[in-house]
Amino acid sequence: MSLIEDLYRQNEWANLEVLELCRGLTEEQLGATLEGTYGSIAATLTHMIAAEAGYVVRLGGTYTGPRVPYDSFPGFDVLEAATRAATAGLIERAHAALAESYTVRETEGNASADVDAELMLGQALIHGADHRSQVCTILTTLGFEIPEIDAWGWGLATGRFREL
Amino acid sequence: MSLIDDLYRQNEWATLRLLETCRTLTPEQLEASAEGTYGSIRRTLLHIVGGEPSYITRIGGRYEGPAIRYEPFPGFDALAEATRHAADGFIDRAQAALDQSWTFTTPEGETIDAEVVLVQALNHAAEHRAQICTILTTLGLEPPALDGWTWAVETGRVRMR
Repeated sequence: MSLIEDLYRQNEWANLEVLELCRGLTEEQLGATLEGTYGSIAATLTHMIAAEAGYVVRLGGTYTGPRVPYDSFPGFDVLEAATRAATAGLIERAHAALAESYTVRETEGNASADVDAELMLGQALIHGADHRSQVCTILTTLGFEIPEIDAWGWGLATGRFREL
Repeated sequence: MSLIDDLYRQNEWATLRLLETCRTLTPEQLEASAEGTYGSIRRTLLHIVGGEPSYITRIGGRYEGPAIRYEPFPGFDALAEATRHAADGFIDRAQAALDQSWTFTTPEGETIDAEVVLVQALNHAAEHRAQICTILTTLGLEPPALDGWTWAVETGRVRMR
């Protein structure tokens, strides 16, 4: 057991739970959105997971999953495989940052910046939780019961939280 | 710099920033909610901040901030103070868990690994902050940027070249 690994494994598990729930949605439901959220369910899931894969690469890690386009829904199998691969990459990078802090160079156009790896590793977790929350809000308005995807649910599913 | 410290400091910063935004709301706006969220802004803030001390004490940590009760509303100063104390408590417990994992038993007889609580602390707050941001948007207000990038810029962790 490792707190660092647990943080990213719970994020992975929650992503996979939401993907599994959304797999059963109609095309119309996947296109549903709400004011104050990122966009449609399909767009939010794609954005969320594409970003995780992107963080791994930007952190100097190895992402071995399928390419996830930012602008079109690639299907649930691709998103699941990408979630698993991104998690492995994030855990590897988190262990590296814990052993020795490092900085990455981010470039956009003519501008560049040095970014501490820790903040991108933190952003990966916040980003996932933020967008899952938005998807769950939309699903609730569609009448779906939301599974317990927080750490309690993860603990129960993985035997880390054992009820009587 | 430590990844563990950073995770809980960013969580603290995001909650404090959200509290600052919500401090300016009218009583009617604080009572606003949106379908699919936890409840009103006021109630959700209390739920985020009020839950954190119990997470810390459950895993053997010390919480030295004010007690947060739902009624009467304790005010934004108390919520901010509680958030700061809770962050200190989480960091202490997270560092301890990195050194040595442990398990505890609740009065109800449940057995829980400490890491589950430490993961839940971050997850819980992020989820409910997102709900408040959704409500703020439905009120026609710009929600504050609470992401890791903004935190990094504000704390000098992104250095333009």
